[in-house]
Amino acid sequence: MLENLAAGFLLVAQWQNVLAIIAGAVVGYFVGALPGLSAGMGIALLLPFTFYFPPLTSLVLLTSLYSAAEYGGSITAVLINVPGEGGAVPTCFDGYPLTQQGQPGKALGVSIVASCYAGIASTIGLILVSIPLAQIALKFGPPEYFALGVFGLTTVAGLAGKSWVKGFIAVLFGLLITTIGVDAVSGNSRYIFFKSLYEGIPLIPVLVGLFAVSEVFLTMEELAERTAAVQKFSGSLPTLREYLGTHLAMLRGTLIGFVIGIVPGAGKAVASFIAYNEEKRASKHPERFGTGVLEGVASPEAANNAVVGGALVPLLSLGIPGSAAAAVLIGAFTIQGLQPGPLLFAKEPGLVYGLFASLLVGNLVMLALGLLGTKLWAKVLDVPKNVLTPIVLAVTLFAAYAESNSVYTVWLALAFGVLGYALRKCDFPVAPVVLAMVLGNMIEISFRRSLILSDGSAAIFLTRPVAVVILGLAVFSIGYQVLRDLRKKPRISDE
Amino acid sequence: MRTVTAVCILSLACVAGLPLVGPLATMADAAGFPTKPITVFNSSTAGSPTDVMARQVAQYARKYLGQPMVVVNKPGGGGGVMFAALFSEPADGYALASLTASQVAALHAELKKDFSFDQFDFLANVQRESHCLVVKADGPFKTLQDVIDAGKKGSGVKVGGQGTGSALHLMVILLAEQSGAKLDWVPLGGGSESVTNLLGGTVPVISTSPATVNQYVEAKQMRVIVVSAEKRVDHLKDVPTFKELGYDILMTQYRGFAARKGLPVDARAKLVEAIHKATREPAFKEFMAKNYQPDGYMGPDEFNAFARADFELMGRLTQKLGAKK
Repeated sequence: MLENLAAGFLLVAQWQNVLAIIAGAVVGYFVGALPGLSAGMGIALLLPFTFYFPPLTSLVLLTSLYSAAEYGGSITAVLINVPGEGGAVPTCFDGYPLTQQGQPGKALGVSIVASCYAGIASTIGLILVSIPLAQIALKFGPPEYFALGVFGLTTVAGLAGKSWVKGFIAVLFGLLITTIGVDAVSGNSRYIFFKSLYEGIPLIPVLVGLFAVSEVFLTMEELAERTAAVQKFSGSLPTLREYLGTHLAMLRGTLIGFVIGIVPGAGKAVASFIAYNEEKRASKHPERFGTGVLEGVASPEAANNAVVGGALVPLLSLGIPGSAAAAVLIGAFTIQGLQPGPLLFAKEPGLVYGLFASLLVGNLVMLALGLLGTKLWAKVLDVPKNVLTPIVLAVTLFAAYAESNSVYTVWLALAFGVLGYALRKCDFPVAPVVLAMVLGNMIEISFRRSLILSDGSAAIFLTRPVAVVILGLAVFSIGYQVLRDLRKKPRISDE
Repeated sequence: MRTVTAVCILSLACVAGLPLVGPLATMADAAGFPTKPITVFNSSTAGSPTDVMARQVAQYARKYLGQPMVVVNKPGGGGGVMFAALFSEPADGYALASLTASQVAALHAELKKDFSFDQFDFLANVQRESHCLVVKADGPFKTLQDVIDAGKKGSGVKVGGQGTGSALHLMVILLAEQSGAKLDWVPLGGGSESVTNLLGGTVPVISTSPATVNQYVEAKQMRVIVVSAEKRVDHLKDVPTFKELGYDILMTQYRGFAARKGLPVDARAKLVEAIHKATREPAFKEFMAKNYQPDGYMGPDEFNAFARADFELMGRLTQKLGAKK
């Protein structure tokens, strides 16, 4: 294996491949940083160019883009409370408060280090255990997806903010949205009033609407009332001590992200929500989460980058994509006449190990870019708000447009912006809506498929060991939060 | 929208400082069609057989069109999303759909309300391949007869595959009807989901295409037990057809290009010619061979007639079987 890896490094050291890694990282960095442009979209955009590249160069370019884009999504989350995609939503929770305290550099620094750490650790995981671990992907039938979805939903308890009831209302609202569209099990239309609703409501316009557009409205209001404080922002990075303090958070985030990445279709949003929630639970000071805790940035950021390595596990060894972006990567393989799957390691060892080597190098390139960029990004915040806000709105609406290449999604983003503004004014958390939208279809479809498999008996959820364990975790997760809240309340009244 | 996509791609490329090898669109003569890139909508995700077919054709057709063909994935709604995208564009030849038998079959089911067969002009078919039923190599079933026998006992056999009311589904309904076995359909998301569920043991049988499972068959993880084409498939010489086994089931998956009806005559001719020439390129033929795809080229007259016949067959099946959900 080491020999193969050494050969892989030699391949990657060719100038075309080095160039491809750097180009991929730079493009990915910007694609990620633009709200609404996802890693998958970035890969799809560059895919046509790779037609003319040799196979390794093409794959190196795209995987490097993939990793960097997963990091890039956190930049706007930290700076302006606008997550670039679902996976970056939890980064807002503690990343943005740090910015409000004038310390965006700290959040960005932890975020890039966590991303790089997770990227490298998950690549090592991929190299060492990809073939045995691929079996995890196969253990996931419909009942397990259902269980995982339910477990994912329980993280709402950690996001609900002040009021549980409001958190659950937000979740239910998100779940309701996911019932719109053609029902994938029966083929029936549900709530389709016009053709655009066929596919259901896409996530990105809702995401940018609820977070970005509503944030723009709130800022405009502040500006109008002249309550917006002029603030100094520092691009200074965390100290070594602060980095070390988040080490465990990065490790936990990486593990969670890697395992969830292996499960095809679960996705990075689930991973980073769960990682944030688990971090909060593991923490000695959970009550400070949401106020700008570095661990709260490190864990979800590590998780969403560890998903990259995880998603490549079933992709390379089984030919099954672990994420939406990995699905686009399969396209890159097939275009090159390669089939990721059980024969790839045997047929194309040079390519596989070259890819591994490039992931290791690519993460370091990303780290360098990220650290260099931090000071620059912090400068963005020095732009007066009355200039920055309209730019944010324009970029956001562009992202909404890019989702479907139609104005329909722009209206959707604006509508959800108004809704998000109203929700936030009434103290409803908006993150649970996004969480529910990420999970809703998975939960519903896998629930119904499970029942088809079991001829209608719900026992199927309790007779499959993996499903039982995950459902158990879900019960534990929600029970723990309830108990802690119950215990916490009297203490608050004491104060 | 095409301009925006193009601008995106270009600006990204500039950011990357990519060495843009390859032909940057030899300029088309100003007068004739096409004067701008052609969008090809695809109802599956990137990397699916249809998507790859379309991208390959696009790659070679560019030379003959003088403009790029850009494949845009519009997955969802059993093809409805792609059709909606196609019909939101004018019938000027700048928007095509790469489609398969599945979407034609869907015109009888969930897409019936919004689209009709007569709105389409089937320009050129590229691939035509068999469907098949696949089991795990180390599973309980070795032959189709094993599956049928098991299906006649107890709670029947679960068969997984893409979609509801799809050709893959109708094939299983036909088999159940003709054999008297109870075969329960488990609708799955697509090819790789079918693979996962078969390998993971969630379903013992899947209905899919040989191309989807080739590598697993080669790696001895799966076994194809029956194919639905007229004749045996070249690289699966040991696998019988339904006909040989005494079932009256003949179905093929075809992948080709369609447009809205009413294209300008010269645009239509130019597109057909470019697609045809692309499929004659040696490199394209190599791609087809590598993926075990037989050449299924049909020009517009033949393809329109063929698609209609297939559509009508699907209609009879769907109706006869009460459009089982």
